Amino acid sequence: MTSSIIINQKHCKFLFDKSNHFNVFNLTRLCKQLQSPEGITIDISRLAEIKQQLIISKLQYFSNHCKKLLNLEDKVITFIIKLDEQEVESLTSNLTLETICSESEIIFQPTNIEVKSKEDPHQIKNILGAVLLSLVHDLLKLQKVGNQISLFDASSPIVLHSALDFLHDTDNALMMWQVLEKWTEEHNKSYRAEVNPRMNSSSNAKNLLKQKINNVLKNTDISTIGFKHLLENEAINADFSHCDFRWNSKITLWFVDDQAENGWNNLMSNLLEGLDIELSCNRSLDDLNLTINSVRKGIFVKPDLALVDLRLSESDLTFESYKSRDLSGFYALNQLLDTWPGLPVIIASASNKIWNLEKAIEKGATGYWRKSEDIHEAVNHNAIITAFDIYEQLLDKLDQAIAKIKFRNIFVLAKLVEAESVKKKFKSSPLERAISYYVNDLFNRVSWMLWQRQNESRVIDSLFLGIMEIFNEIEPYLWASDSRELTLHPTKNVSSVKEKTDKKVINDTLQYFDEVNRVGGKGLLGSYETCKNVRNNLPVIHGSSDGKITHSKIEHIELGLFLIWFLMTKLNEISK
Amino acid sequence: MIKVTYIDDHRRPERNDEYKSIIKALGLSEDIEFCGSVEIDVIESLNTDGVICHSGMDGYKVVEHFAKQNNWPLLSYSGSVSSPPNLLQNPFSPNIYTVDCNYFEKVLLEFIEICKNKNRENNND
Repeated sequence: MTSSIIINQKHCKFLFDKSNHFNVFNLTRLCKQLQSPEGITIDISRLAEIKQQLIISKLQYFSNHCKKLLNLEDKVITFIIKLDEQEVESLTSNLTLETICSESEIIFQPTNIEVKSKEDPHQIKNILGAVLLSLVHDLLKLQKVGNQISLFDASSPIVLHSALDFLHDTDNALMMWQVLEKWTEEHNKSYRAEVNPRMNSSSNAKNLLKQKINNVLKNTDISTIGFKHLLENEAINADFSHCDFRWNSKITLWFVDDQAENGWNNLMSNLLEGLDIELSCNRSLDDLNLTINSVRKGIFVKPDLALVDLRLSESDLTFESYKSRDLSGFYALNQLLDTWPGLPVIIASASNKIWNLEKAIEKGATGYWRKSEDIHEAVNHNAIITAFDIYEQLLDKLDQAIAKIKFRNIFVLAKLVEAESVKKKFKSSPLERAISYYVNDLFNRVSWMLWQRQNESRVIDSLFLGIMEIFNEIEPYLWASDSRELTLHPTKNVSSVKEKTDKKVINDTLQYFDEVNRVGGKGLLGSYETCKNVRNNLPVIHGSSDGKITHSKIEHIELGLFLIWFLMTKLNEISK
Repeated sequence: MIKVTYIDDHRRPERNDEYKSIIKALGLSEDIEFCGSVEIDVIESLNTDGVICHSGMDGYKVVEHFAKQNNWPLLSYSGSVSSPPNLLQNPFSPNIYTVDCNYFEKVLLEFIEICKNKNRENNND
């Protein structure tokens, strides 16, 4: 056994992340092999000055780790350095640690002085889960664990950089230390056999999610929207141009967490690595408000989904233990859904209070991610398996959120239709009520479908049928029953078939707009006929006699809503 | 003569006061003005040679956005345990510098020098 270690370039990837942040836990891991009754010596003088400075500025955390993890309390720790003496003094003057310094050495003894950033036990538990998630992140990069794995040297693939902020805390570091020690002992007994299948399943789940994200980005783009053929017509496109259907080329995830800067942002960015997801942080309700206003002013892009921590304020601690009032995360949820109805919002929390989950459902969240389980001091290999569970739960909640994103164009169109329905012409009419009911039903059904994991086809069919019912409600506005004149084309009477009982009010009106706008191809009328055909072939309408049954698709709902919006804007225009 | 803007972090008024004392003690009162708002219109209309603010405060993203857009050097001090004791230039946004809030005093003059250089460059252009 040796009592000293020389740190050089080959240790850098293990000790510093790609943004040059120092991982104090990993320096402690490197020192595990050192033993001496007097103390240990760490030579960092071969490192670049900036790296030496980073290490020195974090010596108080290293001192804590030496005491708790390496059992070096009251031993002498010597750092060999090569820095200007004034620089050393300025760096060490901020440490809560007594040191003896020169330009070539810093000497100290680990004592009882500890730097504790968080005393809240809830917070610590929360972060233990986070530390383990970083282990999952490293394992997934590794893909497979072989017969041997190095855990306490610089060649270890388990770098834990995504939790390096959390690992400054001695409790977190101690928990991870025990996990790694246990792993070293039992790698070939049970760990390898249990961890490899979990790595496979998590990796597969991530790949699947990646595919789904790519599909949703492709299928909700304006170039693939259900009525894109109609937008090729200049006049129709001009009517529609003020409606914002532009989405980002990546999924923009708004991460709302007061601890974002204290390690969570780094961890989440790493966990979402490789997915087409761009993370944007908000730290509080006020911060969220500012960002929402910035979107309105065109400074930031609107979110595609949000992950909101349940507790955004210290004062939440008072309310957590009983159901007295909403935690701040729920206020953030309200703010987001008031601004963008239908936005998939996942609530993240370490809380196991069932009423928080109930409230999340009640308030319209898409998912509830328990970002930590109870991981006690008696750490065993279950901790790693639990970490995989937490990670797969995150992927699962994101999967639910992505499933909701598929409906985002429908949500926007439904709100456009609703906005037309409250204008003077339709105010307090059966049509306004039908639309209000439909829009409410749309948001609820989609949310509930995701919570209950219902069959998507049935829900889409039912939503599509709702559209066709709105067409029935709009029909009376499109003609005068006494004169048979078309409202939007008064010089023409409505045609009818089958002894005047089946009138073609909508067909004739849409045909008129096809003609005046010179809409080519399928046109408005052809689009409406498509909707009717889809309706007639739905299982619930057609039954199952001759194999013609087809389910409706999201694009059909988009098309139907667009036609309704089009007719309503035209009716509103003439009533001005 | 340059003008750098220090933006208050409303979560920690006592730290704002402490930093303002440091600014005064370093003889930088003429170079640094104080701003108490992170409202978009206020930040957008700043006429400044550089900005200083906390990386975790409300409105940081707004400040960062306009710093990038206007090429203002931004000193973002941080309370995160992994933040550096010296000015660390962001490799992806070179006008953004990070520092551990405990080392604010140590780096302030260096940052002001960066702002002065930037100002000179702009004037030469």
